[in-house]
Amino acid sequence: MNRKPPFSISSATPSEGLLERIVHTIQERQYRARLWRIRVFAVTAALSIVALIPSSVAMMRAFKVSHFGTYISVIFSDGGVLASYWKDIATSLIESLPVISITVALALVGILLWSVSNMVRFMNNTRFFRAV
Amino acid sequence: MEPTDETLVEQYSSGTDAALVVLIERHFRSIYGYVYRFVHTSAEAEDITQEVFIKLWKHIDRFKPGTGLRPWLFRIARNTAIDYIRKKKHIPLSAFEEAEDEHILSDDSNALEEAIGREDQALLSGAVEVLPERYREIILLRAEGLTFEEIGSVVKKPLNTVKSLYRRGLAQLHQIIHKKRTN
Repeated sequence: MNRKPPFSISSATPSEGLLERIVHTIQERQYRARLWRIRVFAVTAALSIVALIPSSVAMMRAFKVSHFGTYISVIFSDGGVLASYWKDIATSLIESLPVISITVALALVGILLWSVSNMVRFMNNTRFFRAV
Repeated sequence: MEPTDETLVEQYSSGTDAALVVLIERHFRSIYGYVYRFVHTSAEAEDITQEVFIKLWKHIDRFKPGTGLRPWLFRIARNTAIDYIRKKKHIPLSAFEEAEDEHILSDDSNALEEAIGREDQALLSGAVEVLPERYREIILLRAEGLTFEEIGSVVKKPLNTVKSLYRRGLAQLHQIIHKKRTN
C-alpha cells in the first residue's frame, strides 16, 4: 500500500517571481551573515595584534631577568665546559625559560593567524549565487 | 541523470551555492500548494513558503542523510503554517491535534485510489477542499508521493493512525465526489 497513489491533486500555483524572491532573500541573509563573521574575525585579529605588543615586551623583559641569555652565551663560549656540564646547562636553560610569557605570546600569535585565515576564507566565499 | 536531494544537500554543504537554488526550485511549488491549503490566500502562502526555505537554509546542517528531504520539508512547512495561523488567528495548538481514536478499517483503499485517480482534476481539487482537515492533510501528502511512514513523521502520528485516516479520507472523498456528480 505504500506504492505511489494513482492520483495527483492540482494545487494552487504561486505567482511569477516567488522563486527569485526566495533565492534573493536567502542570498541577502547569507551575505549579511558572512559579512558579520568577517567583521568579528577582523576585530579579533586587531585585538590580538594590540595585545601582542605589551606581551612581546613582557616576554623580552622576562628573558632578560631570567639570565637565559647568560646560559646561551656559555654554550657558545667554552666547548670544554659545555661538554662537561651539558646536563646542568640544559636544565638551567629550561628552568630559566619564561614559560608563561612565551605561552601568552604564542597564544596571541595563534589567535591572530586563526582570525586572519578565517577572514580570508569568508572573504573568498562572499559571492552571490545566481538563480538557475 | 538529475542529482538526488541528498546529493544537492552535500554539494551545498561543500560550498556549491547553486545546489541550494536547484533544491528550492525543485520543491517550492509543492510546498506552496500544501501551505495554501492552510491559509487560502496567495500572499500568506508565499510568505510562509519563503519562511520554510529560509528555515531549510538555516538548518540544512541538521538534515540526516537517508531520512528523505521531502518529509523534512513538509514537516517544516506544516509547523510554520500552523504557527502562522495560531499567531494570526489566536487559535490554540489543540485545534490542530486530533484525538487518536481511529480504528483500522478493511483494506479497500486500492479500489478507491483507482476510482479517484480517474476523476476530473477540478472536481477532485474541489472535493479535497471540503474534506475535514484531518483527512485532507493526509491525502494531500499522499498525492505528493510521501510514504505513510514519511507522512507519520510530518504530522507526528503513528503509522496505523495515518493509514486509517487515509482510508477514511478516501472513502469520504469518494462520497463527496459522488454527491457533486449527482447534484
